[in-house]
Amino acid sequence: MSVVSLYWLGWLAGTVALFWAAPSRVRHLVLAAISLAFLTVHAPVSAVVLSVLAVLCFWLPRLSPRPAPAIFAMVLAIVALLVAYKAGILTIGAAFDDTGAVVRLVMPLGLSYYAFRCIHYLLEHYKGALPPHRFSDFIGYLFFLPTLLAGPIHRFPDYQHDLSQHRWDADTFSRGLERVLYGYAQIVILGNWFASTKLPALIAGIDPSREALIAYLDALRFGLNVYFQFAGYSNVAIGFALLLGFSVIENFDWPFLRRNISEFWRSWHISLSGWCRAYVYMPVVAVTRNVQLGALATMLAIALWHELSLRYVLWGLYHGLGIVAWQLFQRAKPALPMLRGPVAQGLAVGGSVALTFNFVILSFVLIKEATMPDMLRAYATIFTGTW
Amino acid sequence: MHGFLARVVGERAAVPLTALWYVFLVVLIVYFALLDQAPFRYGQL
Repeated sequence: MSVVSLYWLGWLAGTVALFWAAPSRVRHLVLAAISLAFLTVHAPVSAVVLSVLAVLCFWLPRLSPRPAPAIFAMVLAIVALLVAYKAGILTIGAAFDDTGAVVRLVMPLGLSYYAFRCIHYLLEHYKGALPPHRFSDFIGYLFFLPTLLAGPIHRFPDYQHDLSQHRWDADTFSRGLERVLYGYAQIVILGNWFASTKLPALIAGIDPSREALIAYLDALRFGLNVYFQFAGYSNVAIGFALLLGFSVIENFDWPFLRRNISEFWRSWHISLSGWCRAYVYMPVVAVTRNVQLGALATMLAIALWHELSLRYVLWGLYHGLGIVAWQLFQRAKPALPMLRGPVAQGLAVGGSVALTFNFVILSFVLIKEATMPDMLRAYATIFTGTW
Repeated sequence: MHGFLARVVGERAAVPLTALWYVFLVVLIVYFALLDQAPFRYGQL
């Protein structure tokens, strides 16, 4: 099933209508019931996994005589579940089916996203940072249809804040409609048409002897497609949430116009990078007092969240080392001569944006190619081939 | 978009212009969706 379909739009419109037609006190439960129905129809395994996780995450820390060990055991169990499914996908998918049909049967829909929401809830509960709430509120948070399947990974305190002040607001509803429209425009026009259809046709028309240019443009096309598709989907999800009167964390903020790789990661998949900053980077830095190690651990966590594979490990290390290099440059910066005047500073900003943009585009080669030899060949072509 | 147009052309003219902008976007999306042969890959549910 695709987001770009009348079927999905039907679910969206039906959910919004039923939600606002319901009495205000039970609206979040009506939404949870619709989400459960949606999962039961499209991914029954996911419906069971999410229901079990919801009960355990809420009640285990509360009923256990020793909450702290129970919370950490639960976090480890969720991580193990995620790893098992992701590793299982690779093994079973490669063993039985090249088309990915088995993958869809095995992997619970949206698991990567709601597993991280559960871990966030457990760790915030441990810190005592959660606002007062009931089990029904937590159910409403976990079974929140707009973000259930592919994020953004929103936070419980934000959800609870919106729930406690929930009311109809025409302006919010109108902004939601606008975001959904912009999201679809991004997916359909910029992603599906421009990056997936028009750009490949343009690249195919280039003289084959200019192999480096072709390989570079192919990485660019891949990166733009990922961005337009995912940012478009995030806009649809954020718009859908606004239609229900909830504000959800932004996921993208012009990432390709950032001046350094650290800024890039604060504007690309913001909900995931923010989650990893809070629950991977901060603890690693707190324990080791080493920000470089923190950056590497964070980027590896982000990479492995996407896929348990060597190519994603390399991709994570590439970005992690990029951030480490930037951190070291920041330390050395005071000793460097200052750039004076608007022209020099403008050139420096332009150069920084171009450098960051190309650093990111070249990283897509790592995850774009199917095999390691293909990846190495693509890099060799870009750096030594004819432009 | 409405806020932007209201600042540029005034509140009265902004409402129909915003509506026109939305209709234009919908037509554009439907046109490209029908034209499109590429699958929606990244966010496939």
